[in-house]
Amino acid sequence: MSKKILMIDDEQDFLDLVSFRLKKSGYDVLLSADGEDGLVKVRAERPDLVLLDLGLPRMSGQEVCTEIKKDEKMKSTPVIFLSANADRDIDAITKDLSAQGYISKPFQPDELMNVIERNIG
Amino acid sequence: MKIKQKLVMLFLIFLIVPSAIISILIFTNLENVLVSARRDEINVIADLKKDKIEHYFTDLKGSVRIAQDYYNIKTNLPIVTKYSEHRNDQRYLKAKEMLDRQLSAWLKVKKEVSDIYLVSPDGKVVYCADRSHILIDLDARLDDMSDHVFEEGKKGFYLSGIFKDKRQGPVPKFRMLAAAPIYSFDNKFIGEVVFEINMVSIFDFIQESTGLGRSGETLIVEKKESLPGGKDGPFILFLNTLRHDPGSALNRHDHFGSKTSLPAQLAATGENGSGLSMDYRGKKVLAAWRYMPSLNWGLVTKMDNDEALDKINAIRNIVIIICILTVAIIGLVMVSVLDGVVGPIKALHKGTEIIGSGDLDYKVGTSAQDEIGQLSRAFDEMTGKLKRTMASRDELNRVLSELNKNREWLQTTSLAVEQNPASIVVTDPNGSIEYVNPKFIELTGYTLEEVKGKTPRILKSGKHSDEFYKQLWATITSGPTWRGEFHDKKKNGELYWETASISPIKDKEGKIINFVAVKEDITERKQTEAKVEEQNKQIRQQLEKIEELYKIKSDFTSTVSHELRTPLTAIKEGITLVADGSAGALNDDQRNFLSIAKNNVDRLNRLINDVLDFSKLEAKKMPFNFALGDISAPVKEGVASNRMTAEKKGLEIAFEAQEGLPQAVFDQDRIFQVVNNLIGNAIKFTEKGGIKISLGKVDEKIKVCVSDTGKGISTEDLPRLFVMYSQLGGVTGRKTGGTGLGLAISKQIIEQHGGAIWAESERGKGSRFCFTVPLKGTETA
Repeated sequence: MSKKILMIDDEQDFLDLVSFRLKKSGYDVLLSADGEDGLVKVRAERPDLVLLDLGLPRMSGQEVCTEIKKDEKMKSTPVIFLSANADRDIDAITKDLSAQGYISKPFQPDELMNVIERNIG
Repeated sequence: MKIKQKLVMLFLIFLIVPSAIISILIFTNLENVLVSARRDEINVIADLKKDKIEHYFTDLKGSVRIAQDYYNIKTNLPIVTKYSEHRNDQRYLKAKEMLDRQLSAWLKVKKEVSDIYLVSPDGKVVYCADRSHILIDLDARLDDMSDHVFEEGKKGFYLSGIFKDKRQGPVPKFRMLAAAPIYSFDNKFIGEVVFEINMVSIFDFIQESTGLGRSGETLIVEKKESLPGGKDGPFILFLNTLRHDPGSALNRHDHFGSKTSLPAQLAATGENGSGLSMDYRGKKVLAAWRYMPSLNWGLVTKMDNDEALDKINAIRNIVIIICILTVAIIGLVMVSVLDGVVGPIKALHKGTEIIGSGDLDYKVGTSAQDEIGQLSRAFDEMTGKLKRTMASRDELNRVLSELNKNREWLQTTSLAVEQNPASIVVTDPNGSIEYVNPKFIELTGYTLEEVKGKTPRILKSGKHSDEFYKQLWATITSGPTWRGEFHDKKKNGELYWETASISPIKDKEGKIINFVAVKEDITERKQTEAKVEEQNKQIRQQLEKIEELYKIKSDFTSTVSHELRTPLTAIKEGITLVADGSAGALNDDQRNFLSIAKNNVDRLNRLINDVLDFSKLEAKKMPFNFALGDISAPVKEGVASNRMTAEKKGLEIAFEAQEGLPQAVFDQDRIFQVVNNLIGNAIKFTEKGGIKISLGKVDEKIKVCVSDTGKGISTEDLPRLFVMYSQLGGVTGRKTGGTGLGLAISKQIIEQHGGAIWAESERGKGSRFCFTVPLKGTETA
């Protein structure tokens, strides 16, 4: 059974492009365009991994991650941040929120795939 | 000679000499008394002994005479003579028994008589009273015992000399014989009666030394014309045993006329007397000598002079000790008395010396009531008066010199006030002006006459509140100095600023007699201050504006970067998906064009990153992870990550590091960024040759240099290298792929490490880029 990845990002173009690549690689992909909806989907669908943008409408990526890591049932789910804010803050955020990693936008396709495989491969 | 010594000498003369004379007189007198007392004692003893001896022999003579006339003897002597050959005959035995009865009883009474013999007419012993002597004495010839006794005895009573009894035992026994003739009733000579005298008890009596101490004794001597040994005399012969010579009896002798045995010589020649003399041992003795005519013996009683004078010696010692003690005690008393006298004189002498050397505070200070005490007190009083006189003279001099000083000071002070660059105002306690100096007049335009008697209120401009003046007045009337600034008005109505200090002047009782104001015109300063303040305000406003702009720029850059990156990510992902064939196969041209598009997307991304980095560094918002470490690590990493690029281009890349480099404080990632940038640049601008990276320590810094063999940089271009957006000679990044921000970013990074970055080059000869990092980091690190 193929692994399920939830991707939360407000850029529809980006969702389309990345989900295409993930599906090609054999993953089930779920998409969400805002933080609140994304958190609902995490609870409902129980994905194997979450790709999470930081700047999201209605609920920020940090808040979503905090909620996931607070929940006993979901906290083992790996969370990978994707951010265009290519500075060091994201490294600190990742550690503070116990997320499993981050990828700066724009990224090399191999980089993304490697991180995913390392967490759920 | 000092007084003390003189007095001691006097003391010795007046005390010791008389006491010595008195002692000698007393002692001599005492000695005489004692000697004569001793002599008397010895005389008494000598007389006593002489009398007793003479008495004894007189008594003995009487006894012999009685025996001559005994009926018993006259009757029985012929019988024992007749039967001397037949002693068992009854008649003999009877006669003997009768004689025994009478004569042995006699022997018992007369202790000194040891035996009584009866001698036949031909001189043979025919009877002896002591039975124990029968075997020895009987039939012996009387003359064998002692010469001439029988012959002399025939004539009448005869007393022999003392002799040693040769017959009996080894211990000599000294004897005398007393013989007398016996006549029959018809007056015929029928024999002799002989008393044998044992000298032991007589000698004992003579030698008995009671009253004569340890050394004294009594001796008897006899004058002899010759001695038995054939020596010619005259001699004196010692008859008894001496205390100091046990074998002396009939043995010891001395020549007449010798210096020893003087008392014995005197006694033997018939002298009687006593005195100091020399005895047989040659010792000085106190002696008494007596002549005994009936026996022709001399008797001497004597005692060693030393012992006789024993008591005198003891007394003499006591007298000497008493004399010494007395002298010592009186001497000590005298010394202390002398100290009492000489001490104050010495103190007075010392006092004169001290006062003479200038110390008038010195006091001799004595409590003695004698003349010296009075003298000391008079002396102290004189010193006191002298001191008071000196003191008043000194005081006068001091006051004069002070007055002189004051006069000088007043002159100086008044000049100081007159010519003072500050304006000075003196008022009375009510504030009425008494004096103003020329500077005041020059500044305010008022003359002294115009202000005298008025208060400084004439200068009021109305710029200060009433409260301000009230507080000023309250301050100065309560004592302390008031300091402050006035904004006042001149006579011509012009306003001016001055600083003032106003102080009360008090008399000795603390009452305020004047106020003095010292004021300085600060109008010019005030105006300058106002201008400066205005300028500062403008600068602050501008700075605030700049800061605001800066913030806007920073925020803007950050936002723009982010906003640019989002679409760029989508573009890149799209291109990548198509290019890697995920969306279907591509021909070579399509792949080539997509590759160009992808490269430019990457370049655009780098540009955005650099702009963002630079703006953060410039705003000092870039976080640094400073840590102590080995700086060669990021440098080596930089070399490694560029090696492939260099080799692709056919360039050599070399690295060399000084050995034993110390650790430094730096941010690993940022130093890598700088090294990477410098090596990247070197590779980019070098076509031939190689790149050399070196690492070393200079002073307290690590120095990293990247040298290349590129075309070099012209001298005029060097300073612009590290400025943002400047690529040299109009060469754009299109050819080299650079953003133009690398060196500007490196400069920021190195400067924020506290180091420096620079380039050295000459066009055509390659370049060398160096930077330093301090070992201990920066303050901000």
